[in-house]
Amino acid sequence: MNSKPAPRSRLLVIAFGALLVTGCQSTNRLREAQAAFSEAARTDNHLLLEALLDRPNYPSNTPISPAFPGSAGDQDLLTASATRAGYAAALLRLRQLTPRETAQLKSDRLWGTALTLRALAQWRLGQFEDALRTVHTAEALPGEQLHPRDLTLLEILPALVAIDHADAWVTSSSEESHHGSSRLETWRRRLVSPGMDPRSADDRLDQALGRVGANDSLRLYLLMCRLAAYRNYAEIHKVLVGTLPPFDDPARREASHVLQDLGDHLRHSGANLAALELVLAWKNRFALIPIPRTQPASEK
Amino acid sequence: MVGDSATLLLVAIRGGIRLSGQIRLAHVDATRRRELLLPLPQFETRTDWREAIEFFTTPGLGTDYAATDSHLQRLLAKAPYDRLGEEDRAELSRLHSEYAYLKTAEELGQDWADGSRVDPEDLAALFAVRQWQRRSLDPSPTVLQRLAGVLWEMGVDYARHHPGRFPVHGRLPRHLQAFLRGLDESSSLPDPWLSELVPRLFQVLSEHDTTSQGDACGLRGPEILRRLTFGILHKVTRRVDPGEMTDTSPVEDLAERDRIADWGEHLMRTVLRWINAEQSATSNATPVRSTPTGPEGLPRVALEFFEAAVSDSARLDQALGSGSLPSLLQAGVRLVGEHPSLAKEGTTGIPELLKYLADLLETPSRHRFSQVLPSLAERILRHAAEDPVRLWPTRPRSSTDSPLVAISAQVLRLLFDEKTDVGPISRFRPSDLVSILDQVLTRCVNSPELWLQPDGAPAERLPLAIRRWLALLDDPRRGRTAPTQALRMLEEVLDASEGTTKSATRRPIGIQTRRSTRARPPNRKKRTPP
Repeated sequence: MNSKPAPRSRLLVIAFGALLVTGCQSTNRLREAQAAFSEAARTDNHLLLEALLDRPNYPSNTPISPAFPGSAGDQDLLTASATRAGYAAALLRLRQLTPRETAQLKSDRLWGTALTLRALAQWRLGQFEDALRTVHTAEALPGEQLHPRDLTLLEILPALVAIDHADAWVTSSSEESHHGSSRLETWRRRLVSPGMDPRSADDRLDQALGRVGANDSLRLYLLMCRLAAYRNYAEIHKVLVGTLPPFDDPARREASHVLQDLGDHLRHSGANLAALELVLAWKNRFALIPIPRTQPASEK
Repeated sequence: MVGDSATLLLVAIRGGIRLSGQIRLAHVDATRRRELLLPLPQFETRTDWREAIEFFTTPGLGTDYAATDSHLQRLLAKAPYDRLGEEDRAELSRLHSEYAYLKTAEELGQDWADGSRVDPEDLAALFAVRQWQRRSLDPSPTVLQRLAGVLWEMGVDYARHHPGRFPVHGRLPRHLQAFLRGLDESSSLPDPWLSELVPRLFQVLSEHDTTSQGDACGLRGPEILRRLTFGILHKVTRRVDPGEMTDTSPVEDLAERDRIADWGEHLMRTVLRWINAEQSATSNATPVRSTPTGPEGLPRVALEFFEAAVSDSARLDQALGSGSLPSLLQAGVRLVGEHPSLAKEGTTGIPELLKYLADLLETPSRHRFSQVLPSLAERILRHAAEDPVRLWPTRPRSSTDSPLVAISAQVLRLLFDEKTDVGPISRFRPSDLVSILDQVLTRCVNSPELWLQPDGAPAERLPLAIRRWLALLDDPRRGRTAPTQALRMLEEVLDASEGTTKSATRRPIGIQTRRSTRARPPNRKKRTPP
């Protein structure tokens, strides 16, 4: 720069710097954690959606391992490691909070946001028990610390844990080692059955969905999570029974309604027409036909 | 004078201390309401023969394909009797993958099949969730609500020491209103960056003398200031916030913060001066008036300069310096005024062109060019504007993307011997150098088919002509040639090179030259303006 600021400006800068360094550390740490988490989530979603859309030249139908050097599977593993590192970085930043910074976050009414983020990071890192413990801690916070999005996320986190748990179970299972309808029933209760106690993953997600508005940015996420719950249930069905759930299975029927809701949501929210590929991927790849919900007689 | 400065300093610090507390709270609010990208839970995306059978046997899905594919029919016939071997299952799965893709293509139409598809990366971003769905539901005060009171107090303090300049009891001056509106639109304020920038911008505006020219600030003034304020804050946020998801790395050091705040302040001061000039000008020649694209033209170009100056690669900053900002900005604004299509696209490409120019002139002895660069950049902007289809780079990456930059660089290289750090350049003053380059550039604009190759690179005749001219200058029989005479000789050499004896195409330097109406050579590739 050719022109230097006036001396008073420089003094002002120094005065501000001294004042602000102490007050912003806790907030900045939280912001860094948020950024690391969001970045990891972006990559995570990208990988998952790319596999879901199954476009030519993407080896989604080939097992990830064993990976050969330089293969697409290898690349997936590398990306997955980077994603985990992102979640771990977010968690680490939150763990590094000193008692003084924690107190500052509480006084700034950011502690609920920080705990929610911690629970989410623990979930993505597979630390399911820790994640659920953090949820309990956060739910006990006074109301002023918990804001709308964080509250919803804390409510659905047990559902997200159950879905991931089911996926991990499927990945580690083989068809020969499991039989029996009781195990299927257990998973059905955990994942897709309505009105259970404790509530199934789908039930939790459905209740959260009932509270968000038609244009809420959470709506798309919740719909996709419900489909994920069904998808993992269907995989468990394949492992334990040998087939996909039949068409008259209530879980499959409900998933068809959810898929219809997803398409409606994308259309109403003005999403790019091509975004409907998401709906068609569920339909054509997983043989899940969208079915509109029948209106109650009173509404008719 | 000393006493006045000391008072001003006290005012600024007193206001700054109060302001910093409010900015910290605004930062906390922004963190609370910040978007979070949510990862989807894990689910199995791979399919197998079971999904395949359901697809091919379910009406509305793949039954039509099964009806016409005999190979598929044979496989499906085995399924009910559980006679599918491993190979059959793998084959079914493969066919399912292909037909499912085909079905999707049929349902989404030809555009999708041709490649107009959604990027999974874009889809992934759809899962970004806000804390509050509507701003009205957010109980936190806006940035402006947090800061307005303190800023006003700062203004009152300032006015107390400069009576008559600042209407303490009257209405807030319009330029300050515009500044506060721009501040209000900013959603996030990373600290401590903006706690330095905001007071400095405010200080510039406070010092703005509204008494001599009234408070009107012109019709467009407030809107320009509003856009400029919002744009500066937005760009700084993107640049420096470690939480923002941008490609640029966060910057931490105090010097960098200072530099960014300097540029913000300088830009605001320049634009404000123009608005003042508009106020008092009787002609239509002011930068603001000569931007027929509406009030967005000036701030847009100004913000592009700002972004380029504060970006990671500070080469433009070093090469041009803020001293050249007003004239370059004026050239840029005028350019956008004459070619509104440039402003309608995402970027006008001006900073890219300037950066590329700075890169090309990066030499061990660049100090020799440092005085020339701003004037040269201004000339290139003006000349390129005369034929943007051919001469305007969309995104300069190579010489063919910026013909005029490449030509300037070539001429300067010929004039300068890097090995000896002397050469023909040593006999010219910076102003002569600009005239030399301007003469060459004018030729290229008037007769591009002579001076440019079809791909936009300089034609062979250019270095030949320059060398010939230099040889003439070095002719011992001539003795020492005065710069004006050397320029005339250059003109003659260029004429000769063009195959004319008279400079029929000669015209004055500057933007008010006639637009070239010469038909384009048929073999030249048409370039789309940015």
